[in-house]
Amino acid sequence: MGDAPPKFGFVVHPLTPFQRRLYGVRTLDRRLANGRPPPPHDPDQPDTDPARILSRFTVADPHGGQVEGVLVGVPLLPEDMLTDQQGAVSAVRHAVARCHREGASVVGLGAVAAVIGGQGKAVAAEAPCPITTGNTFTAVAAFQTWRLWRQQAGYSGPVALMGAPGPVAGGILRMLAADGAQIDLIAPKPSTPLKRLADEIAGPDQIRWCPDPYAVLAEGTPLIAASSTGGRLSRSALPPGAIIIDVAAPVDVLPDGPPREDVLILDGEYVRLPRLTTGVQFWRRIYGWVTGQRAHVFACFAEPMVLALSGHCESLSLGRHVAADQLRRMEALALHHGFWVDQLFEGGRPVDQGRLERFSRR
Amino acid sequence: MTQDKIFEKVQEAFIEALGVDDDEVEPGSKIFEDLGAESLDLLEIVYLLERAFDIKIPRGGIQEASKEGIDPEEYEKDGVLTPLAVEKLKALMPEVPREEFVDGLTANDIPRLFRVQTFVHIVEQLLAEKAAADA
Repeated sequence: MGDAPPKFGFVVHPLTPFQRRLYGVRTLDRRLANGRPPPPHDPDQPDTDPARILSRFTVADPHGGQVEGVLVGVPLLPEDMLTDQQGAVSAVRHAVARCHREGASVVGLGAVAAVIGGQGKAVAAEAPCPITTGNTFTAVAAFQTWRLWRQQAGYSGPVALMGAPGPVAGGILRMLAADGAQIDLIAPKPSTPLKRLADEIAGPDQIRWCPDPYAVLAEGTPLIAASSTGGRLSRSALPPGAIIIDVAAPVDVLPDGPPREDVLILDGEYVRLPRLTTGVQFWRRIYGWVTGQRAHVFACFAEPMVLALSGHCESLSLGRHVAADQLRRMEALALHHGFWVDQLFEGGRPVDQGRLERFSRR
Repeated sequence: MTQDKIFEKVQEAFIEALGVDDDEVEPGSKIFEDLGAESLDLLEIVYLLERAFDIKIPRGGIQEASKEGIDPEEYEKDGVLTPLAVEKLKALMPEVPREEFVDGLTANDIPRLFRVQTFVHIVEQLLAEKAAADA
């Protein structure tokens, strides 16, 4: 009998009251299923432990490596977590400890769990195992999406970036600069730390400061939107022909007004999932329902999978900086284990060649 | 706790959250423009301050305070803060130079006005409320 596959954990939480009711149904928690909030956590009352196992599944890489994932949820809504960060950090720590008890050697934090307490730092400070927010692989995936679109479109001009010096946008900026791109950096009033970062990683003529993203888009420059809080652009206000890779969560392009064929808004963080060997039902019924995906996965979710598969179980992507060496290493590890951006997505759906050609002809 | 002591702890929170040097964090430093903070950084700063001072900082506290005593319809018109709301904000944020309260200010612009001293004032006020509640 061979060794058991390594394990990783991932902490999730409902994004809407409806999802929390479903969470209650799945965890047989009548209170949540009926739409009531969870009781305050009492360490002496096991029934009030907020962490619940939602699913297990196994991912296999092309080299025969396997990793088992345990998905643990906390029944807190984004608003709950942002209003009471200390309580939320405590709940997420419980969830991480639960993952660890299940054998996880690294645990990823999803959605707002990755944001509270200094973007993973407070959770990691007292965690029994390494923690990751997924920001490193998210930055890599956004860059790979840009590279794939550029190849398919035969584009060789400048690229604009919005959201630096946030962790994901900062990571993308590093990758673009290393790639030799001409970068239009969107910053209404560049801060001293941002200027310092730009000076550190880019050549003197590589960056142009631009205050207005709409003006850059009107010039025909594609924009990678990666703000930390999302909602910075309005779909109805985009100039015709605008091309955006939206990697923000929540998204940067607010979907106001009707869908538009004359703008291309690509999703920036879907990577190929190599192969699922167990837990397929979960994937189809729940993950597929929430994200619309079956064969692809958010890069932030994939990051702990890659770390566990590669045996590099260490805390990563914590706080506001993503280091250059981490980006390179993550890209190489992910590629080796079968995770990369192999397809463009728009609104969660694959972009076919016809859509790209119709868009290009405009 | 003296204002100097509060400032020291606030300064520590900014240094830890933003990775800036201590000489960059002055009472008048603008949170976004001078220190390069993002919205998520504010979340971390709030978290660090809550732990450092054992207080609870309400989300959007300044905006909510500026609404007190003003009819919602008199607070903003067409998404722009009314002169009445702006006057209230000026009173709540004496550390912000008056010329920064420009015409056309929106509620979303309020955090852009924040100085380090804004957080010192918030902490001072919350500590005073806590002391009053404990008395």
